[in-house]
Amino acid sequence: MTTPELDQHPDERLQELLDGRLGADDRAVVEAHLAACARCRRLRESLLADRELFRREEVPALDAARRAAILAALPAGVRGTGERTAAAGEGVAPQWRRRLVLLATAAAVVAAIGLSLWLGLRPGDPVAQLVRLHQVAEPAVVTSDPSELDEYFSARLPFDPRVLDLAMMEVHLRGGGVAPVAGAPAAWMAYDGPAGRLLCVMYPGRLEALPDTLDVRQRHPFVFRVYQRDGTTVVAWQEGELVCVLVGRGDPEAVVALAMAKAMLPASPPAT
Amino acid sequence: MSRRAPDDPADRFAAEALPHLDGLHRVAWRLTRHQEEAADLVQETLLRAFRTFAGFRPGTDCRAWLFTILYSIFANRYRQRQRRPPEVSLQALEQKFERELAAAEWEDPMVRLAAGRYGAGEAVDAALDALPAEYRGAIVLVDLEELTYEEAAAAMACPVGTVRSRLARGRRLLAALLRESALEPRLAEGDVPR
Repeated sequence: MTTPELDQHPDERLQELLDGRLGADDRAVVEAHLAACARCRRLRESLLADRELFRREEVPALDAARRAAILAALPAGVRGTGERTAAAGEGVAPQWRRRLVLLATAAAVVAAIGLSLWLGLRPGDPVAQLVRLHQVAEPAVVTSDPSELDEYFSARLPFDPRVLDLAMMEVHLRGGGVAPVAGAPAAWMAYDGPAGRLLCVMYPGRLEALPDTLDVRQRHPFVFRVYQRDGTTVVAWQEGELVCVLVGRGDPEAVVALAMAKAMLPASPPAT
Repeated sequence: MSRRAPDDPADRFAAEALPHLDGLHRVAWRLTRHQEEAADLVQETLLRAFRTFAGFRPGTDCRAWLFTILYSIFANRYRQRQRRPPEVSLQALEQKFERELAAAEWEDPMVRLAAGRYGAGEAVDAALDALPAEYRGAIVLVDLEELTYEEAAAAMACPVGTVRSRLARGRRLLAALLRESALEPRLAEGDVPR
């Protein structure tokens, strides 16, 4: 990025920052501009608030009468099978779940590859990837034993994720797997809690590479980025070289509180 | 166990395209903000998709392909019907917004959002209605449907750079329109005009 470009306001680059599309160098340049430019900071605040406003908007569902009318307009051959398929109601999500069930009945290796490929087909916003992982992922390892999951990760990953122990919060480990997130292999652990499924994800990366958000919390020495998508809360923080994420539904503040309680700095190597 | 793709085109279409019915409706509603128009748009999309299904390559992204058809129909219909705000009006709105960005008084929009003062229902409808179709399309596809710029470019049949610039200007215009509507309720309640 050239200096003259920043003599004016880099509105298009600001959009790309908000959408998580900038590389580290370009991101640093835009963030330096934001630090110095009140106008661009205010624009960023407005754009994030607008996006939040629209994402919270409830979209009316397609009612039964209109659904029937749409299907009735299709050729009879499609309609016959279509009524069974489209009447499932959720459209995309059940289709993914049906595919994953079919893959999961095959060997565990095939299921892991199928999941990785499926998630890999949806590049782009890592927060969206994390929400989808929470929605659709079936554990490659079904276990309540953290050491078993540790062993699984050690055999497959070049980094050392921390399997969180959440039992004291009545949140119980159910298993986990490996999937691509933000272009990197990520370890994920699934838990069952009072608000349903909770996912913990860890992958090598930088918190700053996630899309911008106005909901940033601090509890020294950690910074937590909080996102809301379709009723799902995503909380991310940095532990050493890893981005750690909790993804859950229900009370957003409960997910944030859990993240703050469990964030931990990597252990320092012993002094020699 | 693997799923064998059915041979009959009608079966294949039902298996590949119809599961996206609700997703198509969601996009259609966000573009049109009208139940009947959205349903009509979805119906037309599926009919056109079925007629051209021979051109769809199995294994590629059916959702993206359907979005391309839906957006094409929407853009053509909308271009014929919309009374597009004059460019001068859009520029005036942007200039007003720029003055607000530079003003000393600035209320954090997230504070306004949390307090319910940022706009609701009718304000959102009005803002999107006033937005030219190409900007509305970019915002719906990228911000709300979370398509990448590349996927949105394919759906809108335009270069990625055009998506980028439509997002930049569209989001600014939307911000300006929402701020305008946030001030208007005072007038509607009979307050003395500013």
